[in-house]
Amino acid sequence: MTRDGLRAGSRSRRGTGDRGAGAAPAGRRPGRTTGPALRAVGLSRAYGQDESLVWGVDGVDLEVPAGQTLAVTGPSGCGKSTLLQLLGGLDRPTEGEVWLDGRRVDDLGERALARMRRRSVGFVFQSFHLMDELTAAENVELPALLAGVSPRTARRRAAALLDRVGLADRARHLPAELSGGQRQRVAIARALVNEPLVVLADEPTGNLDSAATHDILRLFGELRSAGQTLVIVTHDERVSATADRVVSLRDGTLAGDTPLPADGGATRLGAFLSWED
Amino acid sequence: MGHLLLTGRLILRDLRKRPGEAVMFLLVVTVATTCLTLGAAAGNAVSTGYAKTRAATAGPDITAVTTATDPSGLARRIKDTPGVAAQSDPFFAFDTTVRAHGRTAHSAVEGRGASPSAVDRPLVTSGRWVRPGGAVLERGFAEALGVRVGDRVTVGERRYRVVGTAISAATPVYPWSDNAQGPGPSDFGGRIWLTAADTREAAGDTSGVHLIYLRLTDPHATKRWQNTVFTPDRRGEAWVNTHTWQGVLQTDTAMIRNTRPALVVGGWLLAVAAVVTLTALATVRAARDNRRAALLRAVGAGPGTVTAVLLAQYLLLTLLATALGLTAGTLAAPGLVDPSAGLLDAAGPPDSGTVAAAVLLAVVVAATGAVGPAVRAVRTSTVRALAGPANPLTRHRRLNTLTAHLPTPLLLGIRLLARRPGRAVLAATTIMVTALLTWHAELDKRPDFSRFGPVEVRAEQTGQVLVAVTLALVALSTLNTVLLGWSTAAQVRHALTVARTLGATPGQVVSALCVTQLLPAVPGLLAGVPAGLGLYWLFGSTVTPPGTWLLTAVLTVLLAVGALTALPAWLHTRGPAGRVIEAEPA
Amino acid sequence: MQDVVLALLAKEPSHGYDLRARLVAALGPLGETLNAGQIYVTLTRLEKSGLVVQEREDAGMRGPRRKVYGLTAAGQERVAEWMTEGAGPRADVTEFHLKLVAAAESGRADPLALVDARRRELMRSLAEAQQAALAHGTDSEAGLLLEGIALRLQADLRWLEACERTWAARGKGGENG
Repeated sequence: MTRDGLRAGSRSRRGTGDRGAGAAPAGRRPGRTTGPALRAVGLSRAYGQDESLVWGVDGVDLEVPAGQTLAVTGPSGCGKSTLLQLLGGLDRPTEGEVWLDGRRVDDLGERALARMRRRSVGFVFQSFHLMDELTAAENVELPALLAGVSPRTARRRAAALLDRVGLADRARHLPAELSGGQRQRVAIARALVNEPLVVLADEPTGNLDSAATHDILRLFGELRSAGQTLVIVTHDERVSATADRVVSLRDGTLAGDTPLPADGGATRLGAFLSWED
Repeated sequence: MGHLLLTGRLILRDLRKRPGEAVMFLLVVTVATTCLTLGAAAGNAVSTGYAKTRAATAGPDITAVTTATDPSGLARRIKDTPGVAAQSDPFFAFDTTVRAHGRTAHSAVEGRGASPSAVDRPLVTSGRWVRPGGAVLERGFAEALGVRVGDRVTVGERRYRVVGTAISAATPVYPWSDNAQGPGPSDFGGRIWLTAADTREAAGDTSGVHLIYLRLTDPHATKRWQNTVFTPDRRGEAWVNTHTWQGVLQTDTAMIRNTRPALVVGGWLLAVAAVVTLTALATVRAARDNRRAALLRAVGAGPGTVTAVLLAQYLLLTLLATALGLTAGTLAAPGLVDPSAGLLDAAGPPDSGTVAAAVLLAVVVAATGAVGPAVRAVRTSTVRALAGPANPLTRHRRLNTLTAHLPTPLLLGIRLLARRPGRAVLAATTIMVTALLTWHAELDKRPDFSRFGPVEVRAEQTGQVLVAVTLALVALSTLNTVLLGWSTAAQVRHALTVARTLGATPGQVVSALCVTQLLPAVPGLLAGVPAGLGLYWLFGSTVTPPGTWLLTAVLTVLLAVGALTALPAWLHTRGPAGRVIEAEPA
Repeated sequence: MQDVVLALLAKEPSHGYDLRARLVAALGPLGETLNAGQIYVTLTRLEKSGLVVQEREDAGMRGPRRKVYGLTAAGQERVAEWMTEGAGPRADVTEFHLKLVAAAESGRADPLALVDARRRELMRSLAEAQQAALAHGTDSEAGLLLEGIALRLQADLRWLEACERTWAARGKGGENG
C-alpha cells in the first residue's frame, strides 16, 4: 500500500469523525516570536501495516500561538499522547509537518532533534520520569548540563527553579524521598531549566491527588502569566479549565476547539447563588 | 494439584514465549555435564572395552614369549604347571618392518592355523581369517596404515593380500601391539597374522619367537603365578618372558592419560563458564522473576509456591540437561578412549560415581543461576517488587557532584548508569579466558607427543579434545559477553530514553553507555586475570601464560564488551524516543 | 416541564397518555412519580397560554376518549427558542437529559450539538471556578465553596461525555434503521 493509498483510506474515515474544528484563535499575549510557537500541519501517525493499520493521530492541523496555554483533551486512546510526542519530536509523523518557532522540525535527524528538544522543548510526564539516583537539584540541572551550560550556571538555575516551585528545601533529596506532587514539581523545574520555547506536559496530574494537582495547576498558572507557551494533554476537565484554550481529540482527529475566558472574571459563578428564596 | 497445574502452565508459557533462554540454559548445562562425564567415563570405558574384547576373543591371562627354537618343551612344562586352565599351541612370530601404501611400520608377524586356537582367538571385524597368501591386520594397525581388505602389504620381500582385519586382547592396542620382540627394550609396532607356512616363509632367516597363550584357573592371580608358580626351572634355559592381561589393560589405559586431564580440567572450566552464563541469564531475568514473585504473592501464594514456580522450569531443564550430558558423554567416551580402534566399543551405562558427579555439577550450576534470584525475589517485599525496579540503587553523591565538570557522555554515564551490574560477569569472563590461556600454556610446555612418530594418532586426539574444549569455552565466554551487553541495554533503556527527552543526542547516549560499561570493566578485568590463574591452579598445575597473551585477552574482552554495548544502544537511538517511554512503567 | 411537553409535541400531535409513556421511558424510575393528571394540568396551562391547541378527540381502545394536542405557531416558536437557549451552569441533569430526549424526538435540534454547546458553556464556567479556586486555595471558606462548584461542573462535564457517546451511537443507529 502506498502512502497516497494510506491517506485516501484515512480521509474517508475522517469524514465521519470531523465535526468542524474551529479555526485557531489568535494568542492573547505577546510572545517571544511573531508567528505561532508551535504549528502542526496535517499531522498523522499510523501504527501497524496494511489491514491492521491504525491511525493514532489523523490529519491534525493545529496552531499554538506563543504564550498560549493549550489543553488537549479526549478519552483515553484518542491519540492525545501521541500528538504530544509528535509535537515534541519524540515520535515521527507518518505524514504532515511540525513547525517549531517558524522552523520545520519533523524532518530533522535524531541528533538535530535532540538539540532542538534541549533548546526549545521541556517535557513533563505523568509518571515524572525523574532519575531515581539523582537528587532533585541534580535532576533539574541535568538538561542544562546536557545543553553545555557551565556547571555553576546550571546549579544556580536549578536552585532558582526549585525555589520557584517551592522546593528549595528539598534540593538534596532523592526522588524516592519526595511525594508525588513534589516529584512532579521537580520535573517541571527540570523542564524549565533551559528556558524552552514550549513546555509539553502529558497528563501531568494523572498520578496526583487533588491537593498536589492544585499545586501543579497553580504552577502552570504562574507559567501562563509569565507568557510560557504550554501544551497540556489531560483527561481531567479541571486541568484543561485552567488553559487559554481547549481542543478535544476523538479518534486521532480534532473534534472541538474552545477558547476559555481569561482569569479575573467570575461572571458565570453568580448562577450558583440563587437569592430569591 | 492446583500448584502443579499453575507451575506447569507458567513453565509452558515461559518456554513458548522465550525458547531462546531455555535452549541456552539447556545447552550450557549439557555441555558442562558432557565434558565431565567424558572425563569420568574415559577410564571406565577402557576397562569395559578391554573386558568385552577379552571375552569375545578368549583373551589370554598370560602370554609367554620364548626365543627357544623348539617351544614344545616349554609348552609341555607349562601344561604341567599348576593353575593353568588352558593353553594355545606355540605360534611362531617374528618382528619385522612391513610396507603398505608406501608407508613402513614396525610389526609383529604371527603364524596361525585356519582353525581357532584354544586361547586368543582374534575376532575378525572385516573380511575373513588368514589363508595361504592372505594376511590379517590388527584393526588399529590397519587404520593407522590406512590399509583395507583387498589392499596389499609387503612383509619381508613378499607381498600378501589383506584378507581381513581383527582385534585381540592378547596385546595392547596399536601402537603397543608388537609382542614378537625378543630380549631388549620394546619398540612400538603393530600386529599381523599370516598362516604358519606363510610366516615361516616370510621370516626367512630371521630367528623370531614363539608365543604361547594361557588361561589360568584364577585369572586374577597372574602376578602370583608369574612369580611363584612359573618358577625358573619350569621356564627352562631359553629366554622366556610373560605378559599379564592386567599389564595390557594398564598400557591401554595409559594411552588416554593425555586426553583425560584435558577432559576433566576442561569439564570444570566449562562448568564455571556455565555458571557465569547462567548468572548473566539471571540478570536478564531478574526483573521479570521479581515481578512474577510479587504478583504471585499478591494473589496469595506462599513463599514455597513462589520458589517452586520460579525454580521448576530450571530444575526441569537441569534434569533434562544432565540426562542429555550423561548420554552424550557416555556415547562419546569410547571414541575418545580407543582411538586406535583396537577394542570393542564400550558404550556401557555410566557408573554411579559419574552420575553422581554429573548431577552434582548440574545442580550446583542450576542453583547458582536460578536459586539466587528466586530467593531474592521471594524475600523482596511484595509492594516494593510490584512498584520498583529489581536492582537496588546505589548513590554516588560525591561522584555526581564531580561529574558536572566532565564531558557530557561521562556525565550521563556516571550519573545515570553507573549502578548497573555487569562487572561481575565481565570479571568472570576474564577469569575463564585467563584460565583457558593458562591451560594452553601448560599444554605447550608438555613434551611434544609428535616426536614419538608412531603415536601421532595420540597427539592428534589430545589436540582435538583441546580444540573442542577451547571452542566451547570461547563460545560460552562470547555468549556471556553478548548476554551482558543485552541485559545492560535492556536495563538502561528507560534511563536512556529519559535522557533523550531531555535533549541528549544519540552520540552522547551511546558513548555514555560505553563509558559506564567500560570504566567498571577495567578493574573487573584486572581482577579477572589473577583470579583466572588461581582457578586454573586449583584444577591444573601452576603455570603462567606469557604476559602478551594476557594483555591481548584483556584488550579483546574490553573491545568486545564495548562493541556489544554500543550496538544495542545505537540501534535504540536510531528510532524516535517516544515509544519506549510510553511502554516503560515508572 | 412545559418546555419538555411542548417539544415532545413538535414532531406530531399527541395525547396525554402517550406523552406520559414517553416521559416515563426517558425518566425510568424517576418517572414513576409522574401521574397522568400532572401531564393534563400542564397541557391545559399550555393551551391557556396559546402554545398548544386541542386538534381532535380519539376514541380509546378502552376507557375514556383522548384529547390530541398539537402546537400552535407560537408553540413552534417557543420550542425553537428553548432548543437554542443555554440552560445555565446550574441546570440539573434531568432537565438537560429531557431536553436531549425531546430534541431527538422532535428532530428540532441535534442532541450532539446541544451537548457540545453545553460543554463549552460548562467548560467556561469551570474555567472561572477553577481559576478562582486556585486563587483562593482550599483552606479558605470561599475556596471550599469554589472547590465544590468546580467538582460539580467537572461531574457534569463527565456526564456530557457519556451523553455524547450514547447519542452519537443512537444517531448512527437511527440512520441505519
